[in-house]
Amino acid sequence: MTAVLEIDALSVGLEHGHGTRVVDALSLRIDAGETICLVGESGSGKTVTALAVTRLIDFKGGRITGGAVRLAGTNLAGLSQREMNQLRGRRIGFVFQEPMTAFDPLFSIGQQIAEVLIRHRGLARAAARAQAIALLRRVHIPDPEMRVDQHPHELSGGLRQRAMIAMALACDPVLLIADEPTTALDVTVQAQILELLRELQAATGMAILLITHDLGVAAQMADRVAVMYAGRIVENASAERIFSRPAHPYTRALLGSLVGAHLPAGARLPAIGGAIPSLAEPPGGCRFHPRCAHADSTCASHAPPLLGDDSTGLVACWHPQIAALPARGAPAPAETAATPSPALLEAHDLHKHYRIGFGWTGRRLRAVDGVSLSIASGETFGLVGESGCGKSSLGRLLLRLEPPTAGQVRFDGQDLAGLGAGALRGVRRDMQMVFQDPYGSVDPRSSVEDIIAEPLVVHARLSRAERADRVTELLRQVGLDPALHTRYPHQLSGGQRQRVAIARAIAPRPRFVLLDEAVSALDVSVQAQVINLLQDLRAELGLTYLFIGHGLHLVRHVSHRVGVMYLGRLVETGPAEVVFRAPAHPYTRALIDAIPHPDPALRGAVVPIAGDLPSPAGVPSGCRFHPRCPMATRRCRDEDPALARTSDGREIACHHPL
Amino acid sequence: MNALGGNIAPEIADQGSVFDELTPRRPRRRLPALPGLAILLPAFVVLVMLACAVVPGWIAPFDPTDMDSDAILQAPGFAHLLGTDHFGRDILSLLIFGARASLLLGGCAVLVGGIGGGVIGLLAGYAGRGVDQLLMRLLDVWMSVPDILLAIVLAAALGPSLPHTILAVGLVTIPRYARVMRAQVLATRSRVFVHASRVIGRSHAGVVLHHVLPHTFSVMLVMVTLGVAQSILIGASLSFIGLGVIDDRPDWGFLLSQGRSYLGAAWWFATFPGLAITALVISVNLLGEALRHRLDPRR
Amino acid sequence: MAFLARRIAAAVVVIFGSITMVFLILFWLPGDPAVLVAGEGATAETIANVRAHLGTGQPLWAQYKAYLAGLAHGDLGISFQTGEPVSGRLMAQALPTLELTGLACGLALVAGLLLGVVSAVHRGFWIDHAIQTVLLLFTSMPSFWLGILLILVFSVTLRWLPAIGNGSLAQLVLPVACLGLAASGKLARMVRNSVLDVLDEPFVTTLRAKGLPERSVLYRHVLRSALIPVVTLLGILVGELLSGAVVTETLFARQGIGRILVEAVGVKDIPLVQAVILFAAVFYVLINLLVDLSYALIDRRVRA
Repeated sequence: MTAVLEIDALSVGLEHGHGTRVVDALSLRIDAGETICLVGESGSGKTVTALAVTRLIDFKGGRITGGAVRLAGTNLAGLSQREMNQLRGRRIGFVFQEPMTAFDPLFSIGQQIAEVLIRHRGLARAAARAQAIALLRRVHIPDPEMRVDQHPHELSGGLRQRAMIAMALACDPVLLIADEPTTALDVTVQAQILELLRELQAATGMAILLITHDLGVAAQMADRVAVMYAGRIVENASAERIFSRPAHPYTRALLGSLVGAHLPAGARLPAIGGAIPSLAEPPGGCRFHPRCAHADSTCASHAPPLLGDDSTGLVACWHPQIAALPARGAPAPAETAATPSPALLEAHDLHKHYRIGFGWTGRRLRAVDGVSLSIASGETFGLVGESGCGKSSLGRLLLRLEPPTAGQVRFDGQDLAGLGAGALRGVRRDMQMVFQDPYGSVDPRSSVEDIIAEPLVVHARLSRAERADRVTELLRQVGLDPALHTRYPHQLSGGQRQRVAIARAIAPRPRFVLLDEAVSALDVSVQAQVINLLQDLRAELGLTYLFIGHGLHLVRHVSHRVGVMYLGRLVETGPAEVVFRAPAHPYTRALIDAIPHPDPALRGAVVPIAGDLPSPAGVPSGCRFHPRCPMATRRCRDEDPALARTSDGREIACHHPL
Repeated sequence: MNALGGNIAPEIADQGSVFDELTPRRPRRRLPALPGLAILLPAFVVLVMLACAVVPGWIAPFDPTDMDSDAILQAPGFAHLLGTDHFGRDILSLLIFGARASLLLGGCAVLVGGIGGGVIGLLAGYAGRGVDQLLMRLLDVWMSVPDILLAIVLAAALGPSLPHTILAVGLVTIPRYARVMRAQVLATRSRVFVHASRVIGRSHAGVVLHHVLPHTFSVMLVMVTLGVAQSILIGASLSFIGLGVIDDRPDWGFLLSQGRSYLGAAWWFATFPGLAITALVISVNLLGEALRHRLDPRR
Repeated sequence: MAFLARRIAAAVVVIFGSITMVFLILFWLPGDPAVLVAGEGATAETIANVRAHLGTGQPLWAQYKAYLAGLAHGDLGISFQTGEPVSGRLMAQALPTLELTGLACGLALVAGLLLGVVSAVHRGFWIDHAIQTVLLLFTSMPSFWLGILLILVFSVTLRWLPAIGNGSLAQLVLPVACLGLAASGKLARMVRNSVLDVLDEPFVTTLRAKGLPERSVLYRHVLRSALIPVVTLLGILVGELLSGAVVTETLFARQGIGRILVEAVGVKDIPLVQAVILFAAVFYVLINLLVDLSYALIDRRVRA
């Protein structure tokens, strides 16, 4: 099998670098028709590798400092940019993560695709346009004759990504490099795009280098998986092998910290201690050794080479593990229903509509369109849904950060609407929030001490010394060194920042905490740590959580009950385990099915549902889900189902529940 | 704890650092950087001007009102370094004594503009909606008359005196400070940590004081520094047209207007006052740019 | 086209606002125009008569209403100084100013775009530093000093061009150069910043990944995106030019509304001052309106 791409001991550094190697002696080989997934967390160097292979790294302040990159024999590292321009777009296609910003907003999709054809194939304008339409059709964009003249902002995220793929494949490249192509997409759309890539590969026989942090995606797509850590490949083996018998401790730990159905709900996630090293000062020897349970003196002093063969896989470790991973088959037994506690937070028929445009001519954006729920004291309620479903808006309404257009919110029996500013502030003491973005949710100009002390300043009458003591106590409680209190946010890692945010949230001793995608922006290994922390705190402090997330596995793991939202409404609620194992609503089932499992054996088992998420400004008639539902009937189109209670403590809004 | 007893959890600094360095492309050939000179020289010039404004008597070789009828329109030479004017006054001394007017104007006008504009911008940016619309329309009206024209009318309406000129120039420049402040407040207000502060329970006043305002300081500081330069130019323009303050310590713009009449005979009369204005404005601009560079959120 | 209607309505409101604003400012102008018009040694009675005739003794509200009523009929008032209708004089003076401003605008655009783009494309090289130095000079020196230097070099020393006057084309060169170059400095800086910003955007990486030659990336894509925000600067540019015209006209002894404004202010000829300011404001607002509309045409995202 001839190799399409051969990366040979590639090293990448900064343009004016001082010997820092962002990528260190990386070797990789991709054959025709093969899909290789380059997997790693942030700071692993995977994007830099992709950019270096295409020599785009030169425009970003980096350069290849050693090694070779051979595309069908030619060493790309030695070519000039002008020569590279002949190859890029023609023999190598590139798909980026964010389709919105990757397109030029001023030109139509068709013009941008045609540009590649005119450049590399010398087509005339009319011929290029016709070809562009054909390409759009090939990636299953409906109504391509109309779409070809549209501008990027007129397409939805999923369609834009399809258009980007069409553009990358315009000249039938031998290699497609896709850098996190589905990370910015909703999970149901992600499933569609991944299937599209598989289909196109089967048709053209091209090689794919897929870069991702999501092991589930890797399991679904890869023939081989290469795991990167701190600029080096630590393991490179077939997908079957990686997911069943990974040899490198990092790979094993990474797979272990994935939340899945095999873990009993509420159990501690096996997390990797420590943090991802900075590439400016990586650890000596094996870069993973400070966090490895099997490390010894050799590991600290000598970097292990990547050894092995094609059948067993390559691994860079002095102590490769041989045991198979525990099976992920059997789901854990369902939790028995806890004794009901009084409701702490209740919502009655909440609505939140925004008007876009002016006066009566404006359309209404129905962010939340009739939601009622009740959260019991001490419980964790999980709320899932894709983008535009209104879960964040609902969170803001529950905390009374915005007044609802209609409906009521009661906290501990008290109606929040009737409260004046002073009384509301008192209630705020009991209701706190942790935000998604660990970087943005803390004031970069405040020290850690100031950040955590802010709620104490606002609510409690403590002296400065008392505040300092409480801050120390809180830092310990969230697992941080109290000496960090003088640091500033930019000096902390993402995981540390989120812990500070959590400390800030529990400082006023609240009863209820809203976790709005609190771990979504963190790396997988850090997610596990923070989830464990949240569970511990809930038990210690008797908290009630509303956990908003889009990862169904994670939400199931931490929640007692879950609610599924679609276009501003709850379509299903119930005990987490039950909803997950036996979803009643077709949308819930579609969501669960769309999640890529980290198990190659389950590849391609389910057909993803079609269509894009409608905008909350244009809600379909009748049951909102009917345009995409495989089981929709006439009744679904005409009649809007209400949320009905069933015998086993669930609520479902569907005319034909599963 | 691993087998070596090593620390499993060394808390290390921000992950993004290396990738932040992989930022916009650096040029292949760089001129040698002269950071020291770029700041020292303008700072020196400004300090010299300040000294001229504060203690002109110690620096100037002659009394500016001294009219030497034997030395009318004399070219620059040993006795009069920059020459003399049509009254026989030493131009260098005139310039030194004229520094006060320019610097006072520049310094005070930005206070008027900065504080006035800052308050308006803060209100508009934070209150949003109706208040913002109203204030923005007001600013639009304010800005609809080009600045020197408005300054002329205001200066005429207020009367010829230095405080009035300062007020006129200050008022004319309020909208640009208001716009910048508003933009910065709007940008900060939508950031998550402001939201978080409200969730914690801070009042609006608390949020503004502790979170919003501190994020406007650096931008406004740069604006004010550059604004000094602008105000000096507007003031000089007013003087040039004849609407500035006229006394026995003529300011640089006025000198320029006088020198205009003698261009054919005495080039130095018009050149040096202009050079003084330009030198001061360039220096202030360079200092402002250096400040902007230093305060850029690229930590 | 609700967008169009909204912008026009806003423009009307602003013009109305500026009329009012100027009116208020002038109302508080110190000194009594009646005294000036009546002349030296006039008796109190004469002055009182003149005042009644001019209508300046009346309360603010009455004067304002009268002025608005006049405007509605296209009547800009009678000059205190000459007794003639203001509109005639204004129109006669407006032409030279528009001529000067128009040509200077053209020069500023050409110079600004050229310098800004070249400087951005070759960022860091010697040409960039050279251009930036020149731009710093242009924005720091008073425009009238630049004019004086130009006069010194081209009129006094080289005797190539005349320094003052209105009639010929040659007499336009120096004023246009003075006004245009001074304004080009600011424009060039903004162009440079805009181009640099666009060069950092993600879509530029995509363009390179498509294998487009750098030349095409730059001129077909980057410049187009970068110049869009620059369109909005045209409005500000016109404002700067109108301001600068006052000074330039004084310096080069040219006819124009700048000159008569200064004169009118001196003799407290209020109707004339009001008329000039009104003209400037209307012109400025209209230009900005055109700019906003063309911005919407160019950048479809605004219309969405």
